Parts: sequence; structure tokens; C-alpha cells
Amino acid sequence: MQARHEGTELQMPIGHSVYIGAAEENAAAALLLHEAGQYAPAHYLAGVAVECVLRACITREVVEFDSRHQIKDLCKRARFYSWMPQARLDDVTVAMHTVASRWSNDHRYRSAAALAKWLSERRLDQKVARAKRLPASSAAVPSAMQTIVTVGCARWQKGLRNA
Amino acid sequence: MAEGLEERITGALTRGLPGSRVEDLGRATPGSRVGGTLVWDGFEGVDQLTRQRRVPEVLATRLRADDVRQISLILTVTEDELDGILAD
Repeated sequence: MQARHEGTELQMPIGHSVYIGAAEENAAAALLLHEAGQYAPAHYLAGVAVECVLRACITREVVEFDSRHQIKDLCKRARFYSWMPQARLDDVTVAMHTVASRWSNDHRYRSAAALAKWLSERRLDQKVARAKRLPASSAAVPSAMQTIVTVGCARWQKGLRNA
Repeated sequence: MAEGLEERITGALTRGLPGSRVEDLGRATPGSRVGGTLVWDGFEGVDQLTRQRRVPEVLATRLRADDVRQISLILTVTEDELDGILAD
């Protein structure tokens, strides 16, 4: 089986287990970076961890790799909310909105200053002092990421892949 | 017989956080780092970032550094939260 990636054939598709392992590792790295005050890479890797959970869900039905990275689109393609337990649907929905509104795949190219400017242009955290906006956003994104990764990976580990 | 890594992780967490239990400890794919779920009612009312600070602290004081480097993410939930996650 082959997956398509921007017109080129990949020899091996990325399977769901690889995505789940990557979600766990990126989440752990994001948390370490946040604790170390490395807010820009923490921000970026937290979003990648969420993307990995969504892509694991997508591979339940589709092998083809979609190179787009919009969290909202991936969430829809993964039918993520229909997979979520009712008891956690509200907090997962809020967490996903937090990540989707504050994360872009382009963040990997942004310095801390550039990320702070990006957040400011979107008028996020206007009530937070300018100097504290990036730490505040960095805390919001890994925290929301942790909610999504905890529910997604726990259900996956328990074999509820198609529940 | 010497304990394996997964037994050492489980022992460190359950001794460091009495009353806790560890589930689904393992590697998502061969060669990847070890992840799992830590269930502990002591996490009740504690936010996820604080929980995720606590786990590495416990592991770092009870395991060798080369063991810690092989661990990825330990999910942190209470019994009630786990029930909610596994519902439906």
C-alpha cells in the first residue's frame, strides 16, 4: 500500500501507531520546552501533537496523506468529535478551539518575538500585559493539547479506535 | 530476575504516588519511547500542566537518567476521568 504526498509516492504510509507514538513524544517535548521557558517551540510542538492524534484518527479510514495542516479541517476529516465520549465532548471542543485559533504549521519558522506578534495581530490575550502574552498563550496551548492528547491517546490505548 | 524498564516505571510511579496505578504501559511502535496512563485520585482538582510537572519529578527521583530518557508521555487521569474517557 502506498500513500500519496504532494504528487510523490511514499514507500510506506504512516500508520496510526506511528502517529500515536509521535503524539506522545511531541506532547512530552512541548511540556518540557514550556517548563524551560522555550515558549515558541513549545507552542509549535503542542500543535503538532494534536495534529498527530487527528491524523491517527483519519488513518482509520483513509491512507492518503493530506499535506494540509489546518487543525479544524483535520478535525472534521477525522470525525473527531463523533469519536469523543459525551462526558468529555465540551472540554475537548474548547481545547480544540484553543489550539486551532493559536496554532499554525508556520510557527516552526517563527521566533518567540514573531510568534508574539502573530498572536497580537489576531487580538488574542488583549487583556494580558503585552510582555506576558507569549507565556500565557504557551500555557494555554500545551494545556489544551494535553486535554486532547489525554482523551485521544487513552481511548486509543484502550482499543476504542472505532468506537 | 532483573526488572525491565516497564516494571521500573510502574514501581517508581506507584511508590512515589501511593494509591496510584499504571495502565497500558508500552511502546506505540517498536523502538519508540514508552508511554502509558497513570490513574490517581490525587490528581483531582489539579490541572494538566501541574500533573505533568509532578510525573517527571517522581520519575527523576526514582529512576536512572537513561531510564527517564526512554519515557515519552504518561497520561494523568483520575478514576472518574478515566471512566468518562472510556464511556460510549
